[in-house]
Amino acid sequence: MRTPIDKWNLELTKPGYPWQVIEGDGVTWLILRQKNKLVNKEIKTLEGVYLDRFSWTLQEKNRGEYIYSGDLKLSVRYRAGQIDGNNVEFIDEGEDEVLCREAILAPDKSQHKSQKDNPIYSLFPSLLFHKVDQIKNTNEVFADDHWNLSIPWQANLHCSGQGKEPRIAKVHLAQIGLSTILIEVLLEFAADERIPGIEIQSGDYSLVFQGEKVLTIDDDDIQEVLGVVQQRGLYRGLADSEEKSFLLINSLCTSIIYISAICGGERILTASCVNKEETKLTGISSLLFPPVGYYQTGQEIKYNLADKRKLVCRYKQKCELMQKYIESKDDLITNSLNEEYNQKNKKQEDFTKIIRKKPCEKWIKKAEPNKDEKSSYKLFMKIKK
Amino acid sequence: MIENIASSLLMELPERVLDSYELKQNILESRFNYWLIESDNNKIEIRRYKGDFFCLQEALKWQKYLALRSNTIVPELIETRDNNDFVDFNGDLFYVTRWVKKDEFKPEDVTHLQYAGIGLGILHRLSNEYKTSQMKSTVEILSPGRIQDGLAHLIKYYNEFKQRRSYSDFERIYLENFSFIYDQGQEALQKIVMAGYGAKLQENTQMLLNSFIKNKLAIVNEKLMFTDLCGWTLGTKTMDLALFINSYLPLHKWNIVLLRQLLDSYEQENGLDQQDRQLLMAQLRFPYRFWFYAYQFDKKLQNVDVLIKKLKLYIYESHMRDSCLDQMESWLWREENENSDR
Repeated sequence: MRTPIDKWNLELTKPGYPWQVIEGDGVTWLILRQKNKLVNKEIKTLEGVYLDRFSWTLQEKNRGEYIYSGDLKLSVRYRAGQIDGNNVEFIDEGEDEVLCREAILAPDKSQHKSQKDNPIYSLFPSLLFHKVDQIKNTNEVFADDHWNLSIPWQANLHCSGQGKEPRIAKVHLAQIGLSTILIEVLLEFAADERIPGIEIQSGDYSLVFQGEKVLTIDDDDIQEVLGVVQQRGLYRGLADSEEKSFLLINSLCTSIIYISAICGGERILTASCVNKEETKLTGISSLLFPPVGYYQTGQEIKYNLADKRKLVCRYKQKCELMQKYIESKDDLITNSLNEEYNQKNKKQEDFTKIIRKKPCEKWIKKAEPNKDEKSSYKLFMKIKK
Repeated sequence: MIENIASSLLMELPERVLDSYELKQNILESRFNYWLIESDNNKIEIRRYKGDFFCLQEALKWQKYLALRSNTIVPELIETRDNNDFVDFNGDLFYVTRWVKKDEFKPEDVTHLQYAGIGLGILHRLSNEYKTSQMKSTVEILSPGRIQDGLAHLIKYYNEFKQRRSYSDFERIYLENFSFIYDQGQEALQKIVMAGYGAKLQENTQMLLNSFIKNKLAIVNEKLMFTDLCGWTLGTKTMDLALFINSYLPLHKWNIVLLRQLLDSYEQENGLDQQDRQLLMAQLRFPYRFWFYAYQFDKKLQNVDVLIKKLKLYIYESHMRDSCLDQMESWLWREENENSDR
C-alpha cells in the first residue's frame, strides 16, 4: 500500500547574522553571512569573490558527534566611487513638494488611486557561485577596491558514520542598496554513511522511517533546492498489550536549504516546519525505556521542485532507537569530565540529594501503630473470687 | 480631427461664462481648465477652478489687492458685468484675467530663479499688510510636535520595511540610508526649537502661495508673475521660500552660489531675521520628500518603479543638500555675528 502523502507548509527562517546553522541527521549546513556598508561611497560594479584560505580541523566530541572548526578567508573585489550626483540628471520636484505638503497636512485625504502590487525584482547585481572552482584564483588582476574577510566558524555534526571534509557549497555576492555589499557562504558538513562509526548496542531497536510529503512555501520563490534535512526528537509512546504493538510518537523538524529566486537581498535561505510523526512498532508491547534518541544507519532523501513554491520530497531513513545507550556508564557525559570536577560535583550532589518519600507515607505511619508497641501491649485481667 | 478636438474643448466652456463677461467665442488656445480668448481686440484668459468657493473668493480678493500695488506680480483680474470676481456654473468656478505677453518659467535657467527670488520677496512684502478673515493657517507644520511626528513616521516605516521579507529596492534604499536621513530630520527639529516656535509665530502669519508648480509661474518683462494664487494658505514667509528652494534647487545640484544669490534677491525686497533663517534652514533640512515617498509606497499611491527612481535621486540630492546647507549655515551665522559687531 502506498504511503499517504503529507502536505506541509514551510515557514521561512529569518536570515541570521553572522551565521546560521541547520542541523539534520548526518548533515549540517552552515551559512556565513556578512554585510559591509561603504561610507559615503557608491558601488559601481561587483567584480567577484576570491578564496584566500579555507582551513579546518575535525574532532570527535562524543560518540557520533563531531565538531568542526576552521577559518575562511575571502576577498571581495568591487569598484566604487564617491556618492556624487554631479552626473545625475535631476528632475523638477515642484509638484512632489506640493503633494508632499498636502499629504503632511491631511495624510488621509489623498486623491491618488491605489496601485497594484508590482512584481518584485531588483536592479542591483546578485552573483551566485555554484561551484568552489568558480571562485577566482587570487593570482588574477584585482579591482582597486576590495573587502577582505576572515571568518572563523564552527559546526557540529551528528552522524553514525565518519565525518567527511567540509565543502563550500555556494557563495552569493550581492549589492543591497547603493553602497552595501552582502556575502553569503554556504558550508556543508556531511558524514560517510557507509562506514559505521557506532557499534549497535544490544537493546537498541532498528526502525525505518519513510514517507512522501509535499512542502509548500508561501512567502518566497525557490530557484534551487540545495538540501532537505530532517531531525527527530521529543519521543513518547503508547503501548497496546492486546495488539502487542507500540506506537512511537515524536516531533519531526523538516528544513530545506534553498536559493531564493528573489534577488536584491539574502538568497541562501532556509525554511522549516515541525510536525508530529507516528510509527507503529509491531511485535512488542512496550519498550523497556522510552527512547532518548537515535542514530542513523542509512538514509535516502529525494526531492523534486514542482514549482517555485512547491517541493515534493520522498525519504527513507534507517535508524536505531537508543534505549540502553544512556544506561551504559561508559557513555555518560560525566565520565568525560575530569576527576576533580567529578568529586566536586559528587559532594554537591550529597547535599542536594532529595530523598523522596512514598506517597502518603506520613499518614500511613500515623495510622499504623508501631510494631514494637504492639508486641509489648499487655492485657491485665482481674478475676474476682 | 483637429477641429473635432477643438470643438470638444469648446464645449467645456459654458456659454453662460462668456455671457457673464460679455465675451465672444473666439478661442485662440485651450488647455485643461484654461482658455485664451480674443474678444474686441483684447486677449483674455479664462481659468476654471474646481474647489472651495470661499478659497477662490479669498484668492481673487488677494490678487486684486496685489495687482493694485504691482502691475507685474499677478495678472489683472476682470470682473463680470455684475461686478463679481468669478462665475459659478454648476459648482465649477470660472474667473477671467487680462492676458499679457509672457515667457514660460524655466527653473533650469538661473536668471529665472533670480527673478523668482525678487518676485517672491515683493509678493511677501506686499502681502504682509493684507489681512484676511479666513482661517486657513498651515503654520503648524513647523511645530516641534509635527516635526517629531514626522520623525516617528520615518521610524515606523523603517521598522515595517525591515520586517518584510519580500522587499523591493525601494525598501532596501530606504533602510540603507535611513540613519543619514534621520539625522537630517533631527537637525531640523533642533533648528525649529532654536528658532523659538510659539504663539507669536502662529499669530504673525500672512498669505502664502503654497505652490510653485512651473505652469503657475511666468516671466513678464524680466520679472516673475504668479498666475494662479488659488492654492494659498496662511503661514510664515519661510514656508514659501523653503518650498520654492526645495522644488528647484535639486535641478541645480544644490549650488551654494545660486542659493546665496536667490536669498540675496529675496532679501532685496523682503528681509529675513534670525528666526526666519533658523526656520528656513530647518525646513530645508527636514527630509519631507523621503517621508512622502515612503508614505506613497506604503499606501500604494504610486508606481513602485517610479518611487525607486525618485528615492534614488533623493539620496543623491540629500548628500548635495547636506553639504550645501552646512556651508550655508556657517555663512548665515557669520553674517549675524558681523551685524552684531557693528
